[in-house]
Amino acid sequence: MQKIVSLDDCSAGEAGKIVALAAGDYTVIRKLQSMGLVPGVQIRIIRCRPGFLVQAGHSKVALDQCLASQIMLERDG
Amino acid sequence: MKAVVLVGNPNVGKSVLFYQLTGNYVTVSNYPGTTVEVSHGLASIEGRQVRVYDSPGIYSLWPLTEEEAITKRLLLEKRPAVVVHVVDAKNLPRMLPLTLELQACGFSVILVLNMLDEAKRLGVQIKRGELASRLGIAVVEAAFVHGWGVNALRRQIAEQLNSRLTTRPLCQAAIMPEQEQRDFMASALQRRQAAEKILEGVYSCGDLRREAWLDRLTLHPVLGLLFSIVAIYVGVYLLVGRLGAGLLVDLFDGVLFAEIIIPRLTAWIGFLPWQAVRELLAGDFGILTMGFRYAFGIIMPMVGTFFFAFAFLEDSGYLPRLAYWADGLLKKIGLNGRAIIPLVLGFGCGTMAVVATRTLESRRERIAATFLLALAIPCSAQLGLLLAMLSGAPFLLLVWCLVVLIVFIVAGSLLNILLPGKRAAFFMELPPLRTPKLGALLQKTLARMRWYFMEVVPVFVFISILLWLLAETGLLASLVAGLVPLVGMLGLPPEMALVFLYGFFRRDYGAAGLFDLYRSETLSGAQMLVAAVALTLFLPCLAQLTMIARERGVPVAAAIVFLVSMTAFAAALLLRLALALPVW
Repeated sequence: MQKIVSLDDCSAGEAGKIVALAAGDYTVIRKLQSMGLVPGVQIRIIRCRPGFLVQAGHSKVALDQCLASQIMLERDG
Repeated sequence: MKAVVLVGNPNVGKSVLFYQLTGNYVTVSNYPGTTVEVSHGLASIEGRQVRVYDSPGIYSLWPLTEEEAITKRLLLEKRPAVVVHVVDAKNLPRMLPLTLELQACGFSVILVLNMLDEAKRLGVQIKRGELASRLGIAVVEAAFVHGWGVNALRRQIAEQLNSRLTTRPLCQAAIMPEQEQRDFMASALQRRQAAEKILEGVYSCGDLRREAWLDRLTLHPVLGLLFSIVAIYVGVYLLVGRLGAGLLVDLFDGVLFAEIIIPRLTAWIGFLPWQAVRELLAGDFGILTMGFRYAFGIIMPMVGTFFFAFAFLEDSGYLPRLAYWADGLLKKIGLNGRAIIPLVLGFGCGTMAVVATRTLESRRERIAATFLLALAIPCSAQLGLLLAMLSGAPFLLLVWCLVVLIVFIVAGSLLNILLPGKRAAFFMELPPLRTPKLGALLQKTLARMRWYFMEVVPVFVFISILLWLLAETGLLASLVAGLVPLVGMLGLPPEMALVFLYGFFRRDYGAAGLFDLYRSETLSGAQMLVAAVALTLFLPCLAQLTMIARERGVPVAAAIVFLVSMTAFAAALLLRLALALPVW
């Protein structure tokens, strides 16, 4: 199994560490950063439908597929 | 007078703290030259008067949105003696970098760990003393919704005000907009790493998987959707439609105004010798008999119950979940999940909802949402009356719902194609569900109602005077006569012309006029359906239109007026023709 994948290729229940933000747009990086989604942070995917719902620390963040595809994750295990 | 600025992420309890510090002597005003509202008020801190500012939520001093830019300007221009950084205790690791950023800029900062009760329930532990000594600033534990920590914070503010250190020079360079983005990213990374180091052995995150059953329920794919429907049914239909628009309006308007205030007023004003003045004050369009009666008899109960229901949804943390659910659907019409909040507000009061479109990211989305609000979202006043009329005929109610929904979807899809620009990505933090506090709900409801009346009462008085002028000069009759042929094209009786005209001045008044026609049984079922659809889609009320012009500018408002009236007329005409088909 591939170890580093984008978040929108993961399924619910998976967890991993953010390794990079693949956004070309600076404002997108800022948005993700403001939600606490930055490289080094451990996250867990709660739901993939209707949108992506991830947990980072004690906060839950909803993301659409466009943003999810820009988060690169190193899967646990 | 020294200034204290409350700073922090959105939804960390700044406003609750603000009200507890300042009491009710609050001014909400637009920040000079912007549409962002900043509340400020006086607080007495151990005998000293200070001015407290509640700043818009920020994530960093490097501003992304207009609101964030305002917070930054506020910090630079007001030169606060104390900056109170409020954080959600359980998310301290994410929020601490902002504390460091504020410190780096030379502000004297007090860090407040708010919502500590919630954090403790989740097993989060924070060593306050150790954190304070590592940061070198005061750290206060709090749960402001319960009133905990306010006094401790007051003492800390007083101490800062008395200390000489408060006049440290501001390191302006650190918050200059010209700063290179690359530099910013580098320093942001450094601050994050610094924050991590500070929190080592001070913060333990507890149980990350614990979730309340209600949390699970509202996020479940099927149950969550059912829950949304029930929440909207109870909040909008039962509370606003039945209690507000039904029972309370009957009480305020039907009993208080119609039976007690107005007869006395008319008798009292009868002494005035001038007919025209009597008309202006207490005639059909009188300032007192129409303006004030509408504002306080009809609108106050409905908007009051709605604001209460909305405050409940807001404080419970439920709205972001609704946005999460709605995102996929709203994407299809060029909006995103965020837009659900103004759209739901629109079912209460369109005027208020237009203001709420400010929370949308791009101009394109703000225009689309404003247009849809003006076209296809009936406000609580209309909804209450239309539901009362059509609930006797469930089939008509169904057709009405379908037609309005179709118009909403078609208009949204067209806007999506026609408006330039890309749709904004959707991201939103979902706070845990909380039980709202009655006191906080009432405070919020009252604050919003006060704001609402400041906006609306002058408009109502103006409308009364305008209508009175039109009636006195005979222009009203010619306007109505001009509308009669159009109304005739829709297969409606001439009385409807006046209803539509009123409908523009007040949406609910149009519905009330329709209600009168319905009671006198002048309209057939099909006519009622056409009239209900036309009235729902027709122009927003004058108050909403004023707000559209203020928020979106006059050219956009004019375009909206034109397109909305065309669409309403076309949809009603199509419906009329469809109903006249021989298949029925």
